[in-house]
Amino acid sequence: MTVTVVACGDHPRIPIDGTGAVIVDGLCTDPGQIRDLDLPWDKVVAVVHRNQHHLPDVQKALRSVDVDPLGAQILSVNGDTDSSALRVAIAGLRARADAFKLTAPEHAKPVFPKEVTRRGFLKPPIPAYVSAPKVDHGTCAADGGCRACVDACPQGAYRWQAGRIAYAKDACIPCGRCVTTCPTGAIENPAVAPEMLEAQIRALIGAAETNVGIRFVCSRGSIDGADGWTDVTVPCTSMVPGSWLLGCLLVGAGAAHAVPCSESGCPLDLDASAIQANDLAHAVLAESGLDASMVVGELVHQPLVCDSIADPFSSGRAAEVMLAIAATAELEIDVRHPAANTGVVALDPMACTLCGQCAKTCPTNSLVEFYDDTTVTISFDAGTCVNCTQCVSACPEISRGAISVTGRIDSALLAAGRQTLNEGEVAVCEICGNVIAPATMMGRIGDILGEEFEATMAVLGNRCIDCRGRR
Amino acid sequence: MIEWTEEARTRQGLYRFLGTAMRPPGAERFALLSSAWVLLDDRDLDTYAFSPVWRRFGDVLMSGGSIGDREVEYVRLFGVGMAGTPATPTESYYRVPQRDGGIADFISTLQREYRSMGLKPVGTAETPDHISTELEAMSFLCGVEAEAWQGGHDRVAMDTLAHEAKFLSGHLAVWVPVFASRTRDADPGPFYGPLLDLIHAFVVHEADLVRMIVKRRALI
Repeated sequence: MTVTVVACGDHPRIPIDGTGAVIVDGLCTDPGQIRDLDLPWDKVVAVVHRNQHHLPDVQKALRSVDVDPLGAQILSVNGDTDSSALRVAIAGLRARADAFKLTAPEHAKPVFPKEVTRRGFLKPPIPAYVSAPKVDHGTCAADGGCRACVDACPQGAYRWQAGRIAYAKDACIPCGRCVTTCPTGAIENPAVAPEMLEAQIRALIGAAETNVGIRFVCSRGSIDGADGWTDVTVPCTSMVPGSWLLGCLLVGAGAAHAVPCSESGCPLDLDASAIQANDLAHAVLAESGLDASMVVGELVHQPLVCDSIADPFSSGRAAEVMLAIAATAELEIDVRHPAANTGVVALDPMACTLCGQCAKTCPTNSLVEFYDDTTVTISFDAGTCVNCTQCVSACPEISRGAISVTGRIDSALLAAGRQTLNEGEVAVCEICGNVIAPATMMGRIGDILGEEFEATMAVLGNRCIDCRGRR
Repeated sequence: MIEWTEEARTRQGLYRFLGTAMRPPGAERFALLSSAWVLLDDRDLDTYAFSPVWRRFGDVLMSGGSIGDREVEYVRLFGVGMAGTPATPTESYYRVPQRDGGIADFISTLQREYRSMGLKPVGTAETPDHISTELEAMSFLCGVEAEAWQGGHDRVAMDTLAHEAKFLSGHLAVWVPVFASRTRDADPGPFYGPLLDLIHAFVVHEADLVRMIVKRRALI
C-alpha cells in the first residue's frame, strides 16, 4: 500500500518542504479536485489549514478516489507550525495511515453539526463520519457475565442483555474508553487500533532528530505545541491507560503524557482518567527507581536504556509492559494504584463457597475453577488479570467479603504464573459417585435455608441430579 | 424542500435497485439494473459512506458476465440445494430460530406493518419477509416521503422518516448484517459478494442516518 501525502497550497506559511507532500491548491476549499490528480490513492495523509476546511467535503473527496476516510489522517495546522515539527508529525501520520486496516459498515457513524436550527432543516444535513466501535460477539465475554464496557462507557451506549452486549451507536460519542477497557479486546475501533498507534509512535521517534516526548491529546481539543513534544491524537485521553505511557518509554520516547481533557478543551471533560493514568505511570517509575518526571508532561529526557517491547498498546499487554519496566530497572516493583490495568485477586476462605462464579465470569481466564474427584480449586494468574473487577460483581458472597481485587503491579506476582487461591472438598453422590458441587457451597445453601429444609438438603447434598429419584 | 425531495427520491431508487438485484436473475432484469445504476450514480452518492461499495458493485454490474453463472450462483446461495441453503434471504430464518409456528406469527406481524404503511399483500413470488420485499417496502416509504416533501407536507414527511427508522431498526438492520456475513462465508463469487457488501453497507448506513435525522428534528 502507498501512503499519499497531500497538503493544501493555499497557505504558503505551512512549511511542507521535505515532507514529500504533494501540494494541491485549494485543498481546503475545493477538495473535490483531488479526483483529477493522477496519484496513487491507497491511503492518505491530508494536511489542511485549521478551521478552513469542511470535513464532510474532504471525506467525500477521499471516497471519490476510493480512500476510506476513516483511515485517512487529516492534520490541521496553522501558519505558525514549525517545519521540523511538521515533518515529524507527517512521518508519524504516514505510518499510522499505513497501519490502517479496512473498516466494516458498522464502524462509520454519521454526525451532523452540533447546532440544530429550523433553518438548518431546509436542506438535508450532509453528514461527516467518525469511526465508531464495533463489538465482536465471538470474542466478547458477555455470555459469562462480563459488563466491563457497560461500566466504562460515560454515555450509556452499552447494555448487557441476556449474555450479549447491545451497543447503541447513536448514544456513542465515541471516546474509545470501551476499546481499552474491554478485557478480551472484543471491541475494536479501527481509527485507534493499537497497531496504528504503535506504528505512529515508532515513526515519530524515528523521524525526530532529538529526544521526543509523546503527548496523547483529545481529537476534540487542540493545544499549543511545546518543545520536544509531539502529539498523538486519540478520540479522548480518558481512554489512555497508564501502561500506554510506559509503553511509549519502552519503544524509545524520552517522555510521555496524557493531556487531560480540560487542558485541551475537549468537551467530554473526563479528566480523572488521564490524570490517573499519568499518576500510575509516575508511581511505577518512582518505585522502579527510574526518572518519574518522564511522565509529568514537562521536560523531555534521554530515552530509557531498555529492550524494546513489541505490541505494548494491545489489549492484555499491560503485564508485559510492567515486567519490562521492572527488568529495565533491575528491581522488583510493587505498586498499588486504582488505575492499574493489572490486578491481584484475593479470596477469603472463610467466606468463599467455591461456587466458581468469579471464574465463570472472568473474561481473561485469569481465575480458573478446577474439579477433580474429591476437590475443587480456584486458581489465579496475575499475569493475565486486567483489574476489570467483573469477578467482584459476579460474587454472590460479596457482602461477606469473599473476594477482593486490588489494582496492583507486583512484578513478582506477575511473573509467578498460576497460584491456588482457595480449595475445598466436593460433595459426591452417594449412589453413582459423581461430583455434585463444592461441599462448602452446599453447606452455605443449607445455612441459608435453615432447619426447615434439612431433609431437602440431605437429598441435594448427597445425591446428584440423575440419582435423586432413585430408591 | 427540493433537496429533501431529491434525497428521498434517490433513496427510493436505491432501495428499489437493491430489491430488484436480490430477485432471481434474468437478462431483462440485469439490463434494467444497469440503466438504473447509471441514473443513480449521477446523484452525488460520494457524500455517503457506502459510495465505494456502490462503485465496486457498479463495476461488476457493468462488466457483463454470464446470466447463467449468476442463476447458478443465486440458486446455490439463496435457494434450496442439496447441501441446504448457505444464506437464507428471509428475515424469519434469523428471527425465529426454533422454526415452528412462530414463523407464521412473525409473518403476520410483518404483514400488519406493511398494512400500516398503506401496502396490501397481493400474490408475489417472494415471501413478505424476503429481502427484496422488505427493500421494496422501504422504497415505497421513501416514495411517500418524497411526495410529502414535494407537496410541502413537512410533518407527514418527518412522520414517514420516523416510520422508515422504525422499520429499519426493527427489521433490515437487525438481520441483513448476519445474512451478508453468511453469504460472504459461502464464497459468493463475483456478483453476489459485492452486492451483499453493498446491501449491508447501505442498510447499516440508512439505519444510522435516518435515526439521526429523526432524533435531530425532534430537538427543534
